[in-house]
Amino acid sequence: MFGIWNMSVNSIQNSHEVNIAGELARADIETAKIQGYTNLPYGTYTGTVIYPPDTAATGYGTWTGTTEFYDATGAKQAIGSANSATRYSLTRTVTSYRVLPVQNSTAFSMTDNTVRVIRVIVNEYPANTQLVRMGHILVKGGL
Amino acid sequence: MLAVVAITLVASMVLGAILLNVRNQYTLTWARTNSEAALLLAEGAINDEISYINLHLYDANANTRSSQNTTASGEPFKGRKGSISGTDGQFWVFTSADAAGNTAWDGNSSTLYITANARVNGAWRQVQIGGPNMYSSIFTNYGVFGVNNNNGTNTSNVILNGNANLHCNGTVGTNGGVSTGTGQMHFEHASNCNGNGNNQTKFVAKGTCANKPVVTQATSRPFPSCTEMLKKSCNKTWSQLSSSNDNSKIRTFNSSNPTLTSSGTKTCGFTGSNLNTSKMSNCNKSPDTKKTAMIFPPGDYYFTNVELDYMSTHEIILDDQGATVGGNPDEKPIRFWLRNTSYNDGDYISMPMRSSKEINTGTCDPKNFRIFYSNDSSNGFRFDVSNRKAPMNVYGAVYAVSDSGMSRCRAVFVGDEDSNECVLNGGLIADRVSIYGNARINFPGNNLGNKNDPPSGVQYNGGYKCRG
Repeated sequence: MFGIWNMSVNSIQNSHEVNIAGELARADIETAKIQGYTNLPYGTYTGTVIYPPDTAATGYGTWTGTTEFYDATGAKQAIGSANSATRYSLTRTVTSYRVLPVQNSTAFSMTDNTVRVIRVIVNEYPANTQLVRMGHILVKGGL
Repeated sequence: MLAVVAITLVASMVLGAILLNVRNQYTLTWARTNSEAALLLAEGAINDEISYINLHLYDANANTRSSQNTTASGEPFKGRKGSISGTDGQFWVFTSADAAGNTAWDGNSSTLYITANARVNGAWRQVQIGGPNMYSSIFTNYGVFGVNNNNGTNTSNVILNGNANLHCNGTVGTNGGVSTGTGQMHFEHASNCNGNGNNQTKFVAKGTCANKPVVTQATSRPFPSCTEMLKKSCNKTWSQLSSSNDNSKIRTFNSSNPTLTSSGTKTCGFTGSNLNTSKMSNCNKSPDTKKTAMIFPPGDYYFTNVELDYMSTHEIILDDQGATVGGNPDEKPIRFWLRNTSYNDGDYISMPMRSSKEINTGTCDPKNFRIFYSNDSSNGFRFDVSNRKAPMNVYGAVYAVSDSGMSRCRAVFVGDEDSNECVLNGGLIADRVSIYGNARINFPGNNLGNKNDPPSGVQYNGGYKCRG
């Protein structure tokens, strides 16, 4: 009986974690959608920089956001690193494809057909095991 | 003893039931989370397809212009399969002409539907957008663009300014160079797409455009030819348009009881494909200006030559409201299609022009008049105020992009140096743009777009539906 009780408590806790993690990931992508295709941060270009650059180049730009930390209720912690109350960490990346790199630089500019891919991963803390990961794509003139 | 066993049994059953309920809640929580992820993935797939279409919109093969509404072997849904690496799930996205997804989109019509199905760990969501008017007009991005088609290099000057001033309050772009004499060029923004990367100085930033950014794009910005535009707009070739057009619908006022209505006007007996001043010999006078008037209802007109001189006694009326043909509920534009593969001396309009909307409401609408110029003439098509001694205002858009093997099409604005500007309230896309005398482009942005224009791409325009 104690075992069954223990399993129930663990399941309740797991449901809670999945629920919170899912909401954090979804809300983060919705925030990125509101921020908008053109306003998302650029990051740095990775790949061969040819001159003159060309949209056919296989390089891409990547921006990785600062890891955010959340407590057991899903409230965001105003801290730069995890503490004893931390239960979730969230990381997001914005990858931009079909961009134009700048010569002698890791900067790039967007084109009419740049595709911006958002990836959000929420981990359990302190185990740092992955709970939820979601993705979305933004384009000019899109949803 | 029996009582203890019974209590234990009952307690175990209760705890077991609680455990089942808790596990069920756990499963439901995952299902909901996966469902949300699937919805975001499906919406992302819609955007991915918009990008795909915009990259392939002018492909020769209609089947490659979008993801087809067919189901690949072994796949659960119609369309192109994809995913976002580093996240869970897969999507399948396709286009269709109908909301049910049964009829393939022809790659041409502005009515289309994009449907995406996404699965994330077993959770399924479907999103669809679409309906009519999914295209964005090709005229709403630039005030002026020098395309530089068909010469093989990006170094030629394609925007040429003489010794007067060119003003444009929209973005000006070029795939080639920009040349100016002593005149100034005033641009709100400039987009340098000539492939050389360092030619920002080709744009002369002076006066009101000082410190405005020059965006450099390393690859040329391609534009389809007028021939492709004709196919996209009318689903016709030039040969077909030459024998099936609206030239016979050109009208003029009745000699008695003239009004800008169906009963107050009549067809003027226009024949052939040369639009010149002599063709107005059968036309009658406008009741208000007393000028001999030729009236163009909404339609597609085919000309091999246009030479409309300035005459103080003559005028052109663009009946954008369809006042003389019972209305224009679909907002069909008045389109002049010019095609002459034999070298000619160029084409021009100097004659005063008014629209029925201007006459009836006092306001002008730039989205209802289009000139597509595909004549093999280095002299090009020009709006010319040089004989008018008065400013000229044109409301509409000009598109002059050549076929391979033809001379680069050219659009010319001829103002004079007595401050009589040649003003285009609209947009201009041409292989070459030449300015003589004072000229101004008042770019109206999205207000220039007509739903019947050839597209620059597909964009979200409503019709959102979600299932699952």
